[in-house]
Amino acid sequence: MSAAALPAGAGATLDVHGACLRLHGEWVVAEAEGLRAAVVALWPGLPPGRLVVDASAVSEIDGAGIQLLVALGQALLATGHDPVLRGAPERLRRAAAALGAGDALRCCGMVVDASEAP
Amino acid sequence: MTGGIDIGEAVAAFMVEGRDLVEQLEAGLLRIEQGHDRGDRELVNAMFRAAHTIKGSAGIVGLEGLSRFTHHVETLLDRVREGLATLEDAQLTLLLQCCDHMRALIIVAEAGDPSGEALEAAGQDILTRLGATPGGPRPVTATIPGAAGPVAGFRLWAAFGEDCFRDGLDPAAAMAYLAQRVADLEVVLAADRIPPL
Repeated sequence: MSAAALPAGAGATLDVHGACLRLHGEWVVAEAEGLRAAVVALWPGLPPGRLVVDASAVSEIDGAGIQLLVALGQALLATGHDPVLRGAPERLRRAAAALGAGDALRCCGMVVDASEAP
Repeated sequence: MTGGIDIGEAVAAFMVEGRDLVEQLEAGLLRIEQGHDRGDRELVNAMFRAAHTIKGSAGIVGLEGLSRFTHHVETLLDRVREGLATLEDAQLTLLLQCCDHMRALIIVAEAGDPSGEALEAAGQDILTRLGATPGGPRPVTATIPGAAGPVAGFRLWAAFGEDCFRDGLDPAAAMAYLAQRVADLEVVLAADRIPPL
């Protein structure tokens, strides 16, 4: 299953490709409202079970982006998904850690892909 | 808390960041002047955040003149975003002049005048025309009773409010900054307070 990339705003998009939710661009406060709407719009297309959240193409992130990722992780867990965060850039990990939302094994409520854990 | 803040480094960083923020504010004003929707909440919020950050950061690094001056710009933009005021043509023109003045305050600060005394009269003139009360809030100072010498440390507890993003404060940036300077920092994410999707 795949879905066309939903533009969340000028600098951020996300799409579903198989069992992978791919995040792109700038997950920052200016894009937060559009990103949230895009996540909600994509929600019906998310496959059940294990879902990889691929953050490798996130180019920028701030506290609002982390808040949205935490909300995403919570919503996925609450609806029976098994989210795995993959490819989180260093800046995402740093921002999450600064906010108490992540460590080496978990980030924004999601399990960090085992292949990336130390 | 141990360790000191490298204020020189912070000032240097602000000189760059401050100019960027003034440009962001100015770009928003120019968009409106060129016909963009004056009621665009996102744009007004973005301009408010820029002014709020300039005011706060300038105060932190000791550019008191810029902080005080920008306070009035921030106050006006706050009234606009709360629906208590609208941006008329004359105010747009004055706010663009404010941007020029803020830029000038950064320049004189770089030249050794962090309080902006050399530009005080010009700033007050703009503020008077803007309808603000020149002078504005003065820095608040406090003394610690019984502290005869340097204070060895203190404990600070803080929580970010619901409006922090709206007010231009990014908790991630603030905590990252603190993490570099505070010896014993504990951060707890109130995950149950995060707005659901």
